[in-house]
Formats: sequence, C-alpha cells, structure tokens
Amino acid sequence: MKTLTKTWLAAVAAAILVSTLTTSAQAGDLKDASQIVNRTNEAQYYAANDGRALVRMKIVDGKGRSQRRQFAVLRRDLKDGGDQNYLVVFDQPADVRNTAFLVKKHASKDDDRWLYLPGLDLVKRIAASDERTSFVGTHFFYEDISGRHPDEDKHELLETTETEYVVKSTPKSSKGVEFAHYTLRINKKTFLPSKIEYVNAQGKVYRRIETAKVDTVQGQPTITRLKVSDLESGGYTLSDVSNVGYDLGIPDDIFVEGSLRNPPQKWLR
Amino acid sequence: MKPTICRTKQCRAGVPSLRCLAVAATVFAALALASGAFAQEAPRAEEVLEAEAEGPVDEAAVAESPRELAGEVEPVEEAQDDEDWGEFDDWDEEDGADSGGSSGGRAWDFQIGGFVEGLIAPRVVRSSASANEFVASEARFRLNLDATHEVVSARFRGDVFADAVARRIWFDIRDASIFVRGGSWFSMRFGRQVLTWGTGDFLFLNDLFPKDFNSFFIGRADEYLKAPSNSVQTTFMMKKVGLDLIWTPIFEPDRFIDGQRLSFFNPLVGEIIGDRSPLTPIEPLFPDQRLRNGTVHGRLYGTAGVVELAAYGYVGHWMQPNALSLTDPADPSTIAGLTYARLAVYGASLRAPLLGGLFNVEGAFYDSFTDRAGTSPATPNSQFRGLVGYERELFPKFQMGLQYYLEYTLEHDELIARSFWPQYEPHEFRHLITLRLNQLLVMDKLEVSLFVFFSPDELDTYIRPRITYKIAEPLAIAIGANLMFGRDQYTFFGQLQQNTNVYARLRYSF
Repeated sequence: MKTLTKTWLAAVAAAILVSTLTTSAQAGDLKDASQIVNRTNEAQYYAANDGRALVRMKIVDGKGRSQRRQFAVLRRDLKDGGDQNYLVVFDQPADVRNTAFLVKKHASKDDDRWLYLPGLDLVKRIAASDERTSFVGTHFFYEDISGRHPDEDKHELLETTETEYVVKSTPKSSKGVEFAHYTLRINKKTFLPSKIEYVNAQGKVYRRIETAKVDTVQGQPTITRLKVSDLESGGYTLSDVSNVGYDLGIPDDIFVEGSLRNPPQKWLR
Repeated sequence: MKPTICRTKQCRAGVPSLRCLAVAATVFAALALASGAFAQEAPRAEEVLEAEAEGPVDEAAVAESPRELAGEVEPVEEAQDDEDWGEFDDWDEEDGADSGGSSGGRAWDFQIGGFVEGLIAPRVVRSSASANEFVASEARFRLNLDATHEVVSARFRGDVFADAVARRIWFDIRDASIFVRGGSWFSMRFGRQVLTWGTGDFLFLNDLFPKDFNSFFIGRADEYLKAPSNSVQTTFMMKKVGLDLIWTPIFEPDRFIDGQRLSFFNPLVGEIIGDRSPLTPIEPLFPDQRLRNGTVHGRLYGTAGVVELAAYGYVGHWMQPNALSLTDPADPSTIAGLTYARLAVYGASLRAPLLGGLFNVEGAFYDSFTDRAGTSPATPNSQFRGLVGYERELFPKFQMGLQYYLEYTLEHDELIARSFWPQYEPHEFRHLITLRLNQLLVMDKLEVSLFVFFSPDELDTYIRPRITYKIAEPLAIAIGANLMFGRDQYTFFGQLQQNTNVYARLRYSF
C-alpha cells in the first residue's frame, strides 16, 4: 500500500514537472491566491538561504529634486517564510556613511532592530516603528524592504493571464495601513511581482511599485530594478541592485552588535 | 610625585593631535602604497572570474557555469561616478557603475569624506561672569579617511576649526585607529578612538569614556559630546556572549567646563565665574602619566531571547576634577588645585522590548575607594546611580522617550558634616527626569526634536529644542537652543544659567 502511494506520488510529480517544462502553462496554474502570495513572498524575500546585495536608490520629489542612498545588505534566513537576519551598512549620503542597521525580523512578533551611529560610536536599540512609513527618506516603506507578512491580508485571485496572476489583497485589519486594498501582478514563472498598485478608500490608485528589471543570479530570479511612485505628490524612488550573491555561507554569528561597529568586510564585498 | 599640570584641556587635545596626524599620514601613505602594489599584481576582474570557474569549484558561493558568472555577477572593473543616474532608460548604459562604494572584491577599499561646518551661538541672557557674548563662533573642516581590507582596516577622523571665541585654531583628531579581526571570535582596535556603551539617552552611568561637556552645551553636533581617547580595545565573542576590554594607558578625562567658554558655579567664592574671573580657566592637577594611572574598562554582554544584558567594570579616576588637592587637609584656604580622585565603577544594565516600545534599566556603583567612609572633604563620596527608561513610537515617525535617573550619595551625613561648603552640596538623593520628543517630517528631511532634563529636587532644568533640515543633498541646517534655568545658582544645571544660548549650524557634507 505504502509503495503504491509513493509510486503514485512520483507519477504525479513527474507529470507536473513535464507539464511545466512543456508549454502547458494552463495545467500548472495555481488557483489558490494565498499559495501564490506565499510563493511570491518567498521568491522576493527568501531567495536561497542567504544573500548579499549593493543597493542604490535615487529619490526624486514632486519638484524634481533628487537625493541618493546607497547601502550594502547581508541577509540570512533562519526559516523560509519566517525569521531572518539583516545587516545594512550605509555608504551614501556622505553624512550617514558607516551608519548601520541590524534587523532580526520575526514572523510572529515585532522585529528587533539596532542602529549604529558612528560619530558617537553608539549602538542604539530602536523601538518597533510603523512599518508603513518611509524607509530612510525614500518612497519605499520599511515593509516594502523587509516584506509584508502574507497572513496580514486576505488574498483573492482576480485573473490569470498568459504570463501573470492578478491578486487582490485586502488587509484583515485596517489598523496601521493606509490602503483599502492592493493588487499584485505576479509573474507565473518567477513568482516575482511585476507591478503592485495600492488603492485608497476612495478607490483611487495612489501608490505604485513597478519591477523594471529581473536578472537571474545563480539560478535565482532577482528583481534588480524597481520604481516606487507616490502618485499624489508625483515623487518617486528608483532602486538598483548590484553585486548580488546567494548562498555565500554567511554565518549567523555576524548578525551581532560587533558587526555594526566593524562591518564584516569579508561578506560585504 | 610631582603632578603634571596641564594648562588647559585643549592642550591635551591639541598637542598630541599633531603627533597623531603625522602617524595617521604615515599609516595612510603605507596603506596607499600597499594597495598600489596589490592593484598591479591583481589580475583584471574578468580574468579572476574565469580562472575561478575553470579551477576546482570548492565554494558554495561559486555559481554553476563560467557564462553565468561572467554574464550575471557583473564584475566591477572601474568605479565610475554616476552623477546622472537618470531614469530607467539611462540605467542600462551605466551597468556596472559603482560610485566608489564597497564592491568587486578588491583588496583594499578607500573612502574619503567629511564636511565643512559653520556654527554660531550667542548667549541670550545677560552674563556678568563671561566677557564674550558668544559661546561658539567657529568654522570647522572634518576629514574622514577609511582604508578597509577583509581583516584589517584603518580609520581617520580629524577636525580643524577656527574658533573665534578662543581666538585660535584647533586640531582635534577624533579617530586615528587600526582595526584587526582575528576570526569571528576576536578583534582589536588600536589608537585614538571614540568609545561609548550603556543604555541611557544622554545619561551615562557605566560609560566612563571621556565626554566634552563644552560641546554639548554650545550647539555642536551630538557626536561632539563624546571625546576621543588613545586606547586599545579588544573584543572576544563567544556565541551569544561578548567581552570588551579597553585599556587607556594615559588617563584621558572629560573636557570639562573650565570657565573659559562657559561659566559655572565655584563654591570657593560662592558665585558663578567665567572668563572675567582670575580663577579661570580651571587647571586641575593631572595624574602622572604612569601606567598605574591608566584606566581599564570592561563590559560583558549578551542576549537572553529578546533581552539584552550587560555587566560593566571600570578602574581609574573620576572623569571630572571634583577632588581638592590640599596642603592642609582641614583648611580650605590651602587649596593647591583641583584633581581627579581614584574611582572604580561596577554596574549592570538590561534592555528589552516592552509594550511596543523599549524598556531599559541600568545601575552603577561608584566606589570612591580612597575615601569610602566619606570623611575627607577633599574627596568625593561613593555613589549609587540608577536609571530606568522607556521609549516608543507614539505616532508614525514620532518618538517619545522618558527616563528617570537617581544619584544616591553614600555617607551623606559625613559629607555635610565635613564639607567646606555644606550649603552647596547636592542632596543625598538627586533625582533627574528626562523627556525626548522626536518628529521626522517631509520624507525624513526635517527633524524637530526636544530633549528636557528636569531635576525635581534641585529645581533646575536644561531644555534642548532643535530643528534640523536637509536643505538639499549635501547641505543641512540646524537651529536650536540650550536653555538652562535653576532656582539656585549652584545646582547641576542652575550653575549654567548664564550660558543660555541659541545657535545655528550649517553643514556641507562630502
């Protein structure tokens, strides 16, 4: 009986594999919106077991004035879709160079965060903050950078096109969110979002995140260029990711206070 | 034992600084040469990648095929400045651009930066003690240099500033140090450096590293509250526990308020004195530059779940010259000067998330071990200092922090009985409450902040309002005030009341 089940499972697995390898996209389509969003969350924020990237951002306000941010990020996943450790070291603008963040992201409770201010040599623990406020003065929110937990929203599959899933996500609680819902266009192959539009209570799209470029790095589809637009002010932020590396073997013991003061160059470069 | 008399605090900051500057310049020249040699020897990035791909693949980090490596990791050959980042369309042309940041696996990374800053701070109260209407009027140039390697890095932070209040130019080296990493469990930093630890916000219990109180009260940037010292820092890491040991071979005290720039209360004459008084600047008797007068700082720290715990220890001197050097121990008229009494400090702290915010508690025992009985009026008594704090974000981008601080002086009865000026001695229990409010606005470009110290038993207060605005990328302006009030002129903040000032500071960073 057991063997029979196993064989049967193997056959199904083979069939799925064949169907995705051949053109039959329809047959492999997912129907469950939550499952799609979970896969998106993992593809976007949990690629491989660890990763490194150099991020450049250009912030343009409604009047066309621009600013820069540049930082290096190290990430290590403790559990896919769950806890993660991040180390972020700033390089630009000049007045915040060597400022560093250590984030211990928790799936089920507030993140633990530390900030290092190099001038004072001060490691400051930061209180939990509103996730939907500007990340270091950009049009990105903290939540866009570290990911919004899929369980916080109700997901509904609106449409399945040739290449994309269109999912509408409505917050379970309106506390701490400024949107009524948002729609995600998700690439069927990579499970990366190509466009996210946030809709306010008046039914108007006021904020948009667009993927401009996806590269495959070490077999991992990776968003390397993003644009987030504040449609009300006309401002936007562009983000460009380079020097991407996965499964570098970043040890867990670098996500400590000492790494804020003296960033681990071995992994950052 | 002939004590070395240092004429002003600045001479200590100034004279060795020149020597440090020479040392730093030599170190950087050596590193630059070394990197030149590396650069010549190192094959081009592409060649390295190809060679790696052809050779045995023994690292998980190496991607599957040479094509993938060459095509997707995009080796950075030359850092090109990308001033015109442009829209998406422009980005493709700039592939591989990297504005001099860290990337590409070069042997050494070099960075240069700094700022130019002007500060002006007039007094806004009438001062009988000080002749100068300004507490600060200065133009500063800061140079930051970093040379970073995988296991070694060198750092330099130096200020040159033209000071119209002191009518001179200062050189102040804030950092000239080398960091060495010996694996994941051990590291060291040698040289001049700024050091900080503890959980308080503008209140330091277990942090016995030098501070610059002049800078704090005249509107200089917050970082100048901390003064550098020439030290050796060693760090040991064992899983979730760390141990820092810091040795400062030559005692480096606070840059205290000596009457030149800021006026303060002098109990000997019973009034506030400033640069008009012949008694200023205060020139304390400095401990001999001997090994036994150096200071040792230790911290053992770790986490238990989300709770951070730390234990601290210190052996050295009081950081302020609050002891008297007397020819006749019973006669205050025989004061030869102020000096630094011996001190040991033992303490602990805890910090943890609580109700959506952060809670911290810290305690420290100041063991003034040369006069534990409190019978010598020339030596400060032992104290217990305690702190409880809580901070959280009340609204988006609006932070609030509250602290309660207590200073309990031991053998207070003895102190009062034997003091030369008992009427000016602090209470047995000195209480202090602080409040911090911080609001970020306009995409974090505008910061409005307020910090208040208030002592309910001494009835004095210190209020620090400040607005900082990043006008355009490299340019930022700060406008603020240092408001000191007190019922009495001999209390901690009350004595500074004639220094109440407003300030404006303009900084261009590069």
